[in-house]
Amino acid sequence: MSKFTKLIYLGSTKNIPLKSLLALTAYDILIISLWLIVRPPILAWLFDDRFVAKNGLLHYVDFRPGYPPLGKLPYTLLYTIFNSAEGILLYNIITLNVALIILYKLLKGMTNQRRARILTLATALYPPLIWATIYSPHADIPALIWLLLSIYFTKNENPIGVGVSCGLGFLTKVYNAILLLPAFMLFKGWGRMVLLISFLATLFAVSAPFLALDPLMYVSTYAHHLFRGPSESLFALLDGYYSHTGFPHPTYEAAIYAWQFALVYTPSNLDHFRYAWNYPQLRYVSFALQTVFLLLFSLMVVRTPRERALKVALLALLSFFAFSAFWNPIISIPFFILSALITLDAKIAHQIFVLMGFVMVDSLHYMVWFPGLPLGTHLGLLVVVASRAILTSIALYVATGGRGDKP
Amino acid sequence: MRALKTLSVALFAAILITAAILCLNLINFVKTDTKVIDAPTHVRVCSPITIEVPSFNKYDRIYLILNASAPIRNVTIKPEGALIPLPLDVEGVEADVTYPLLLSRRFFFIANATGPAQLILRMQPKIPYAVKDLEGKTVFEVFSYGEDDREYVGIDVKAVEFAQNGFTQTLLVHPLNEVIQPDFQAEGELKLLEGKVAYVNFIIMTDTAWYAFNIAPHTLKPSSSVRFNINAGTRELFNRTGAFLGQRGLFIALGIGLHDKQFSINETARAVVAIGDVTVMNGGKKITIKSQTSYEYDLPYRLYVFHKFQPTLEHLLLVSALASEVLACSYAVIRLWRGRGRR
Repeated sequence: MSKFTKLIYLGSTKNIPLKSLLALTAYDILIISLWLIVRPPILAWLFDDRFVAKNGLLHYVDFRPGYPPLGKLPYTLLYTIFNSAEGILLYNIITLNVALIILYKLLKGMTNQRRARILTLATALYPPLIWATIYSPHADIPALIWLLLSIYFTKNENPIGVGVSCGLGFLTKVYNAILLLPAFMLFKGWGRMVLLISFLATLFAVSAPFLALDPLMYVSTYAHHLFRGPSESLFALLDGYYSHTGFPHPTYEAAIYAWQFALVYTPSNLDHFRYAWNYPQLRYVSFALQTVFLLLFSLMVVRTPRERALKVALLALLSFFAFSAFWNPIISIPFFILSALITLDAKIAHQIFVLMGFVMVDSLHYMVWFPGLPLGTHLGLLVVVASRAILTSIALYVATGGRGDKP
Repeated sequence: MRALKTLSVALFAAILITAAILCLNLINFVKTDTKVIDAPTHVRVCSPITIEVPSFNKYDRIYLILNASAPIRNVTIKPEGALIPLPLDVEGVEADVTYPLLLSRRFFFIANATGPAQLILRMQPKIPYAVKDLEGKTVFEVFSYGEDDREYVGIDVKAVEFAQNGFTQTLLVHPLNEVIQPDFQAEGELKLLEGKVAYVNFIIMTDTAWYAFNIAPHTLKPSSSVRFNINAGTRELFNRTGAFLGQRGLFIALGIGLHDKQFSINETARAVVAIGDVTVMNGGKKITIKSQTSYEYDLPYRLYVFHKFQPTLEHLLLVSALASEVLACSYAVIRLWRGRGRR
């Protein structure tokens, strides 16, 4: 075992805060070193902020960005103040550190310390997570904080915590609100009311300024996604569309409402932002599968013993991702974490095997983006989608076996 | 506890009522937030055309769509400053070459005043190609050119700003919309009338990739012509042959490139090119792109007036009331929950 691994793999229970701090520092140095080597054009993604600043527009009032305010505005602020990639990287690293700490705390409460450390380390070294940290000024890393917090509070049966985390999560990246449904089933009586009202109060507290200035532009930020086509999923492949974000549109089109944008373009099966499905049934199949499994697992939560109810709630969330028409390696990040959490009852070797499988599939997924892969884009994505489906099935299989490690 | 419960129910009812009023107001706005004007206009190249923009409010958005095969010399706005144009920016790049709008020319304005306005357009002749800048910035003039009883589309391209790689590239795009078959063949002729080109490429744009074939090198002298024949066996710039077969060919294009090193400091960076008929054979079908230039033509346009929501005092009061009610209700519900022993 190398010195570095020893440092990360903290063998003793003594001095954990200091050792954890050292491990986190070493990890951050690794991320920064990687960033210095690769120097990804992180600011190029903030073309919308540049456009908005240059033309005197305001996000959510004059212009709908692709992310909700808590997912977008911190990056806008950093871009406006520092206009440097370093600022974005620092923010990503801080949010990533917070997410990893919450993950470790969560795992420690669900399994033994050794496994908690191994899984936190596996997540920290998960390639899409590192890639998103050094390359992406989008909401993916901050959104993890709220996802993990909402799971943490669900486990601790704290409806206020779940409601607020889901609310802040929704305002960072929309998928975070999904846990609300299984969590609602988990709580009883007034707990459910508290969950819902906490969620709504959080939404309104943050959204009130935007709702006051232009509610339609604000709602458009969310509604716009309804016009989008699939990407890199089984449904995208079946529909014959396998581009990631499709052909870009002029940035000024975000200065009109989503339904006005829909008027300006005839839908096309080449256009990701105004997509016409070749087989519209696929869209409904995807949505139906998501809904059915989300509802099924949410209903199962009620009948499941308390100690296993969280796992079933997480399965509801996992199935929502699994049957989504949208996919890319960044969506794999929450999926990977959920897979780690639902397989906690399996033998550690089996669990690591499954997680390593996801690492390989996601690495292949990245490779498909770049030309030169012998499989080609279409076949490459088909292999990725099929492998991910097989691995997910294996994950579900191992999730039901074993007795797990007690915390 | 009972009073708290009553308060919660009352607040919940208030939330529903406030939300309903707010939603109704917004639905009423959305019902009439867009005005679409489809109109034909007749263009005579020598005189400008006027597009009337009906009454709008400050901050409304005006969106104009024209066919890009009728190039525009310039657009002026009357009254001056009434509409502020937003620049074309496609994910940070000022290139008007994205598939959804390759064959159309779009203008977007934000109203800076209230009232009607006029857009005055000076047009160029209509040609069978949509003309777009891919790299750098150019200005161009299209014209009709004849030689030996044959008609050509002439284009005079002047570089305004070279891209970082030193090139400008102007595309002349024509729709294809065919699955490319093994018998695919494109034939044509072009002439360099004046100036210098870095290259002229024939480009096949499919739904997944572009394939460019060099048809005129940088050594091409003025007053000389080249004939080209592109087929499945022709090697393209990335050394691929026939890679486009079976793909959906959406457009074909000619890319005229200029390079800054070809021109001295005092020389105008320019190329005048004439393009003859282009014949495309595909799947036994023959498509001919006739080199016709029209100085008088019909130009349909579509104009959108998108109204922008402006908050009124009533709206601000409703949002404030809703936010306050939700927060007060959440406080009451949490108190009740705590009072009942967190069940």
